[in-house]
Amino acid sequence: MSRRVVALVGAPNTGKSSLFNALTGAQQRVGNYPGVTVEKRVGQLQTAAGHDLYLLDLPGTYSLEPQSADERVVADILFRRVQVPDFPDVIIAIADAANLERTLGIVVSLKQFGIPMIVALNMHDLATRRGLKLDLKSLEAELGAPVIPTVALHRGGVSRLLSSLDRVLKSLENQPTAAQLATPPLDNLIATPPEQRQAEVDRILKKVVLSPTAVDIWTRRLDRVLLHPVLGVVFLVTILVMIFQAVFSWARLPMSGIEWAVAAIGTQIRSVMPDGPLESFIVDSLVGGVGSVIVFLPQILILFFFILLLEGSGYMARAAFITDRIMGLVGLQGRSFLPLLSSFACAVPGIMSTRTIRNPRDRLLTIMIAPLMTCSARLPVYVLLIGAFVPNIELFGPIRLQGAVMFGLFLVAILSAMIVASVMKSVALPGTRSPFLIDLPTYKVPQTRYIVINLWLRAKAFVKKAGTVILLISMALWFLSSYPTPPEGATGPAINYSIAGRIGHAVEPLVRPIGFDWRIATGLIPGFAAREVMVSALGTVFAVEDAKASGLQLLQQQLRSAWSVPTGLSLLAWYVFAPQCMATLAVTRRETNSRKWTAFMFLYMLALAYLAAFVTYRLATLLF
Amino acid sequence: MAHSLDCAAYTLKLSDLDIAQKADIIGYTASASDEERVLVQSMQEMGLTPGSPIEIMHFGPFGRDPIAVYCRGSLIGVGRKEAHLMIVKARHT
Repeated sequence: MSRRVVALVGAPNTGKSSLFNALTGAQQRVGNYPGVTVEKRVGQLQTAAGHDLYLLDLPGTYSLEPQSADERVVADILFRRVQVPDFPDVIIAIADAANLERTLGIVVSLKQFGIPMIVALNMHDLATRRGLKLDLKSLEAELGAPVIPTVALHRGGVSRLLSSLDRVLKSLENQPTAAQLATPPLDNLIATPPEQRQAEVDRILKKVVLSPTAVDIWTRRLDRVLLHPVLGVVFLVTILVMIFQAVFSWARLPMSGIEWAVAAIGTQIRSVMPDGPLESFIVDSLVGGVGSVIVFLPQILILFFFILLLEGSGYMARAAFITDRIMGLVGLQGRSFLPLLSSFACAVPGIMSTRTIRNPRDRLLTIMIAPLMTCSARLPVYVLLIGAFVPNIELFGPIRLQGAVMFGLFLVAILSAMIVASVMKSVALPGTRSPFLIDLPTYKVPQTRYIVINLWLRAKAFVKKAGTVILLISMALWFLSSYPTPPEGATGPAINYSIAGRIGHAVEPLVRPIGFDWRIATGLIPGFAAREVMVSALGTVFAVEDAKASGLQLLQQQLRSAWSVPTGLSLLAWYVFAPQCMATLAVTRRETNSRKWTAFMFLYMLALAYLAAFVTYRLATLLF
Repeated sequence: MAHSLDCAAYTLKLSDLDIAQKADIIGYTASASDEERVLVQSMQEMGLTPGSPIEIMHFGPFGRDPIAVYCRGSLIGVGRKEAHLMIVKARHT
């Protein structure tokens, strides 16, 4: 007997994901539906009666007349318009007990499919505390399905739900599964119009609600402050500054721990392996390449921790409400705000968190400009170059030129992101401003379990990425920088004789107008792995050992004597825009599901980098 | 299907209401485009159906946009531009 598929269907914010987690625990996989960037969650579980089943967490939707990619997935599966092995044998429909008027609609419209259904009345405890009294018997009669009150957050009602599920599955025994039955698309069924459906919901509720839910006092009280035109903005800014601060300061210790561990593993391997290309391959390419990406894991997890906290508490929708108008000025929307802010730490989690943007055009636009935010990987490069080429003179009071230049680089990045967003919105992704319509849910205490499971899934996805795509690219870049090996009796660093060195020489005429020499061009090639790799790459080219630690000052001296000030500033300007991060490109490829847009991101950033470096070089040559 | 009403007595829009004001949803303006039709449908699906009583709770900090509307037990954020589509009748208390 093959596994039965049980689908969870319900409106957004009904606690559907919590129920999914309560039912499956960490036994779940996150993937995408074929052809779309809609997150697909599948879990496995075995019921007490021994039924093995797949639990499919369908995206939250209010209706079966889809408006977003998420909602289309639900309608396509239920109407059998797609050929996927996900046709449900049983539906667990979930409604928010405290908000039946709005969440029962989708449950009512599921009746027409004739699929065995169980209704989970979630957040039943909250609703009861707020005065709700229901006639469950007549609700069951109206819906034609068993109704189980649940409190998914605390796994309440889960065992009752499972035994009800067992009864349904028992009745299906010896029947083929839904996926085995080759039924054609259900074109004769149509989604009920919203007005008619709401009328049906109102009729049912009039019958079954004995005493209605009162307004949540705490949500009202909190919103009086958090959505206040002045205090609300102050609160949002404070929260953001705190998150930003935490991402940088909390991550410092684990990051240096990882760096230390990666270096220690490298040293250990060097000490046991004979010198030679294999040793270099394992240490520099495998350990070093993956290490340079894994080092961002702490920042990513800290950032996601806060995002999950804000989402789980119900505040995230408020942040979108407050920022929507400002983001609208450059063609974005409220939901773009957090992904862009996250990108200041690292564009990878920033791009991953664009999944909350429902409008595909806005989501794409947000992804496209996310890597322009000054991520933390740029800082080592900025520190090296500013230290080498910008004199540390006092401007006024405690403000020094070096610090001001650093601040200026952040400012230039934000301004150019705004310009790029406006231009792209009007040229590449035209259309009117996307409508703003958002549910501002009741505040809840975020659930530890939900946060832990989600952090675990994010970490797993990121490490898997570092272990596959990034490993391959890092191996390729190592090969380019190591082969062919220098001829006997050759002088100078080995990289000069490699393919990377030759490419560096070959492209020198192309980069000469922006003041780069072949050494920069050569360093840029391994530097495509990650921005901060440029520091050690330049160290290699200039044959400075250990450029990161004591070598930094030595390298800065070397750079000063090798390059003019305009060249140094030009490289700095290059780094504001250059798409030198394979992790970002890999995650963009995955999230957009499009090679074309990934290539577009790479090329437009490269073009901007070249333009910025050119302008900087010319202006600096005139000035100095 | 949105309620299309051009009756002069009901020309008040959601965007005309002030904070703390209560009203009833009468219907929606005739949709000028597919995009508007879809939007009106989403608004109805979120519970903003004709006949529902509403109350204006909050305004966004910039240009009093968006508008937070309390309706059918939940709080819904609606952009000011979108609010132009909803025809309401104010309650005088």
